[in-house]
Amino acid sequence: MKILKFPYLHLLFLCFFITTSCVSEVDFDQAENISPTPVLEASLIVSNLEASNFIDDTNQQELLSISDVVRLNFINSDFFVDQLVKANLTFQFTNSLNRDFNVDFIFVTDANEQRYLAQVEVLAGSPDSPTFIESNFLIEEPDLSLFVESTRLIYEITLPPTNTPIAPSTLGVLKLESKSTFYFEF
Amino acid sequence: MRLTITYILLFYSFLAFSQNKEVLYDFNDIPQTLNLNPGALIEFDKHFGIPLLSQFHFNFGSSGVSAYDIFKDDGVDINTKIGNAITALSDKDYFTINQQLEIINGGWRKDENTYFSYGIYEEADVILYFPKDLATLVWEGNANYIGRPFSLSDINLKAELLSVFHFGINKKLSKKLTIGGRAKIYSSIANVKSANNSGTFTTRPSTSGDNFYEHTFQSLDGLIQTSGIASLLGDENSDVGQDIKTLRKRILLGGDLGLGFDLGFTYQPKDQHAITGSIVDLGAIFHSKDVESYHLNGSYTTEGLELVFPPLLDINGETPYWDDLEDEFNENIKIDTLKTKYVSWRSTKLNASYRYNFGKGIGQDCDCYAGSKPYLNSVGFQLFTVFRPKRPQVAVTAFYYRRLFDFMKLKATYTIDDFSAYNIGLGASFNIGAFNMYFTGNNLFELQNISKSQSVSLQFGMNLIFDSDD
Repeated sequence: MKILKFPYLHLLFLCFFITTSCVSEVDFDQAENISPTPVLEASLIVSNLEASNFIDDTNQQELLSISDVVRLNFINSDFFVDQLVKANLTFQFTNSLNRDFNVDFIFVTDANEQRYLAQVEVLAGSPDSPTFIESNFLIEEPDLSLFVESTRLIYEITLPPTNTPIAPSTLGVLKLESKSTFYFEF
Repeated sequence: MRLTITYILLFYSFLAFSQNKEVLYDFNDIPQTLNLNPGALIEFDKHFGIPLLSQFHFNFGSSGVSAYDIFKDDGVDINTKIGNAITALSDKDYFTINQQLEIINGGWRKDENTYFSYGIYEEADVILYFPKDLATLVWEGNANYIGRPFSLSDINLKAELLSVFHFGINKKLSKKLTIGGRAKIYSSIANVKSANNSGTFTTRPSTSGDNFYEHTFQSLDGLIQTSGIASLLGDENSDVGQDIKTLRKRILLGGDLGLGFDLGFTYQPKDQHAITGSIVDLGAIFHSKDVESYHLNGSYTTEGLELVFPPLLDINGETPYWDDLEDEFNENIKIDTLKTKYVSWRSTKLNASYRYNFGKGIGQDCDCYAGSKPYLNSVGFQLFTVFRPKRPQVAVTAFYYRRLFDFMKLKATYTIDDFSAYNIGLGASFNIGAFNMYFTGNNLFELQNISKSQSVSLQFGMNLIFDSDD
């Protein structure tokens, strides 16, 4: 087998690739700007309250207010604290009780310190003609930083003074549907 | 020379490559062609690959998107481009990485018709199908997709790292027919696979009317199988030195073992015509050591937390709605850790080719291509298929081979595959005495701007080849 000037051909081959190869018109620094912005839509809480929920068992009289508390630890999770840029809470009431209600959604810390408050006034309705109220609460900075410190939600319904209080036999339901829309940015 | 080699190694080290080695296939001047067809026509009497340098192969393929699509400097926000890519890609698009490094490779002629070859190589092989639904959910969230099911079936991947010990026999049965076979023992270093997943996650308007939405995890059934990974990632294990010892042991047949075969033939009905075919990596690895698999299964639907205003609250003045939801979810959606043995099939490859030899050399004492001594040129076509979890990848190649000088043989290819319809490849084999060096690469047009290429294939290696005719 003949031996010729192999290195020259070799270099030629290499030069072909070196002179024709490149990574042009691209900017890999853009990778620093990669930032997914998912929007999560989720049901939150519901309730269906009848007359009995508003009556004091001991004296069968209407209560001044009722409340329930739900732990929502995820709001104060690292993920929410770091990535949440905006939140929208939607509360929708359908009221067929002939009674006005003032509803407070109080977001609090473990130490019960209030961080965010959403208030909804629900007007009286009737079984035949329920009232329908939908309220949206857009939470952005500076409120957002406080909102994400909360770990619990107090759902409080106050019954304002009236001449026609709820009796055990009152018909109708106060129904709550709610959802949250969380806007994240990584 | 050493400097040149260093340059070449450095230069090629950042190229991307393809699983198909269409330039190397049927390039019978290069001993490594036996790894693609154990029934190739071999004319030399002995070969020995330079240890660790006899073949280096690395591959990256992306069937639907290139780096250029994402990173081109065009003023468009990169997040818009990624979003567009997610929309454009389908769950049939995939990303592959395949890399091989020969540790040793050699062979010798037993007699005029029989050639033995052997070797050890390391291989990494990854295929990840684009999990479109998962990517969409992570990138955009569910807000714009109310009512659309996000499917778990998009998750399909296989990744393996192994060493392969092989021994092959190449036998010329007649002037027309040469056959070959290779037995392989696989020693798995690490393995991950996930396929045949099913189930959906859907957010849809509540069907009961109790709340805005119902969120449904429907018949989730997902399985990720791993072997050789749990012990390396385990909490009790923080000794890197120990990990290296473990890996070294696995490379040298200490891992889960498997068995495989390559079979191939060359049929020459006439001097000028040759038909070849081969099946490579027909085999499986049996995973039983250090196996840890995760099985996700169950169904669950929630419409949120229903607050009932109970007269009695717990010690914290609250009702454990959230804890109850978590408990209910965990009872219905389970992730079990399994230690069950499993089998992973290798990605079997099929090759086939037809070659027409022409152009006689004048008075040369040559060891021309394919044993057809008078012919200096060949043209033909090749077919390549690799069986992947969802469907086979197929490539069709047309080629031209030219024996330019005694010391230099060239092969040019044009390939159509999933990645490109204008893939030009080039290979060269050089000999200086017994020393052989070869390069084969494809997608050369894309080398004008590597970022635009969706795949490039390249092999590089050095051998000592001995032929009593020389």
